[in-house]
Amino acid sequence: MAMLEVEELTMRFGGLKALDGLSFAVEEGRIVGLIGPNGAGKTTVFNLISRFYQPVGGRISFQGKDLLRLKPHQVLQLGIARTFQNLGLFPYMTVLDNLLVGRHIHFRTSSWALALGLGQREERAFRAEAEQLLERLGLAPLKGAVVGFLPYGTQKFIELARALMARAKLLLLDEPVAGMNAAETQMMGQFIKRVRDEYGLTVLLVEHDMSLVMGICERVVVLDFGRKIAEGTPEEVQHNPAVIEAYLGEEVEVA
Amino acid sequence: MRRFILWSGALCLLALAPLFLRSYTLYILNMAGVYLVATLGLNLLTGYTGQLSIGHAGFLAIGAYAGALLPAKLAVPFWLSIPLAGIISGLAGFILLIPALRLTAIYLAIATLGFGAAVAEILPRWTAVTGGYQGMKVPKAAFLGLTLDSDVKLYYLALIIVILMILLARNIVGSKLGRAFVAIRDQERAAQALGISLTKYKASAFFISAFYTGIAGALYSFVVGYISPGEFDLAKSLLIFMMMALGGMGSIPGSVVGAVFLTFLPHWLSGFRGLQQFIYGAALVLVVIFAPYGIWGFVRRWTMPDKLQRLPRPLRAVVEFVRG
Ligand SMILES: Nc1ncnc2c1ncn2[C@@H]1O[C@H](COP(=O)(O)OP(=O)(O)O)[C@@H](O)[C@H]1O
Ligand SMILES: [Mg+2]
Repeated sequence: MAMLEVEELTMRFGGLKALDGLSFAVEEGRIVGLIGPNGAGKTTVFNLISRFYQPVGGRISFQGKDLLRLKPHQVLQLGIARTFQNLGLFPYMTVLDNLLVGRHIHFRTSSWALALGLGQREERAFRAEAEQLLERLGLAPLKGAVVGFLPYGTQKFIELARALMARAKLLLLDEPVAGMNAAETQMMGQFIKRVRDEYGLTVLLVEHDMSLVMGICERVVVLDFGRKIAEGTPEEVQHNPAVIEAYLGEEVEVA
Repeated sequence: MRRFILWSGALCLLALAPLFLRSYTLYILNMAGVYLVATLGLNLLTGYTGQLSIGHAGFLAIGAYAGALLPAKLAVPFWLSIPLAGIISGLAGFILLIPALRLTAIYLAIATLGFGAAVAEILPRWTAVTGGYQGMKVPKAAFLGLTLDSDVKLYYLALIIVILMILLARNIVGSKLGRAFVAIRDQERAAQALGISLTKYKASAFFISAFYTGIAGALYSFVVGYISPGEFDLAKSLLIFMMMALGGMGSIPGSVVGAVFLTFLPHWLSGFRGLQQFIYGAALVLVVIFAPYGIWGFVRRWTMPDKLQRLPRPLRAVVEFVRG
């Protein structure tokens, strides 16, 4: 059984059918790409998994559990963390505090105890872990900086680090390299691969741009107008006529 | 270590203040303490969690009447009546959770306005308990055989409450609780995706905020000695809001500065008869123009320029409200 299974998922916004009977599966340990032209419905898939929308029809299950019965704040408890296309950071918090919110559900101290000033040991332990993670990313000097003032590319890395703090099993990344230059894109790709291996994660990656997808994905699902038009390895997908048709006018780059 | 010395010095100064100050000044300081606690409460809700309220006088009233009625009618000991007043007011705070979970920022503001108005309407009509429009005399606070019958004694009560409430606020803001509040304020979706339940944390914010303001109300009743429904009107809600906004939203020192400043301002201006309202208004406009992050943000800009990036932010909901 696959880790994430999406079956016959259909979503409507007013008269617009954003997803039309979409089915695909993500095997544990893989990096899977979900690609397609702008407006194909990729972010909508993530928002349905996050439970922000209620689908018109279909099923989503994670490790055999029905996701559609959950509320948005319960999804992470099951082991699914995500990033957002337009950044989901808390812009007026420091880098360190943003990372600590990533650890939110793992705090064991009760709110009453926290109000009385207890639970300092836990707070310090998580803080140290967050600092270590920043150290690895070379972002340690920025730990006290307010996130909203940092360059966009840096913020993308911090958002990914925050998702890692959540200790999830499945990572949903919505256009992690959007707005990045080639060097940053390269670095992000390497980083995603490395954390997948080290943390034993599974990654579902939405990308509009093909170069990253071809570089790191082991399997690719292609969407167009809310439907799956192709699925396979990056090489297979790249030469699929339907995919080339969908991306017509947009350059399909060969990595 | 330097901080420790600084704080002990400040504490000594505050503890010795009654030796140097007139009774009248102490009375105003006590009122500043009342508003400080209420402003902290509003700041935790509006400044930190982003839930706009312009009806906090309602909670101040509930706390004031609970603080006065519990000892007067039910013989509750006074040391217990203050926290109880906070809890009763805190529970009343859950009423506002319903609009907060359903409506947008502007409609929540209107709902809080309605809440404040409703409390102000109910109090005078509930004559049997509240004494109606004339109001009621508040029994003297007594503690271990000591009757708090002077401004000096009340000053120490206010001081202790203020310190405890500031420490509590610091713990809240510096923990996962405070981070969840700010997360909800700035990115509701991302907060949810990180496992933060909007229902749970908005409920906490409303309870804590109303709890603070209820405590402030109970202290108010003991400091003033006589309460009547007319005092808890929209003007009072707006006053608390101004204290928070002027001091600095999302900042504890800001609340302290804002509450003390706006409590003393009318007294400093009492010499300028006739011009008082004008100066008051002009001062507010000046602060809004030159210190958009509140007085505390303005102070930090001059004292710690390198930390400019950590200024508390003005509230998005307010900005949206003003822009329409
Ligand atoms: N909340 C929404 N309300 C209305 N339409 C939406 C909403 N979210 C997405 N859509 C529409 O659904 C389609 C798919 O959007 P999206 O999933 O964001 O595409 P992608 O991420 O693949 O670029 C688009 O036509 C978009 O305009
Ligand atoms: Mg998208």
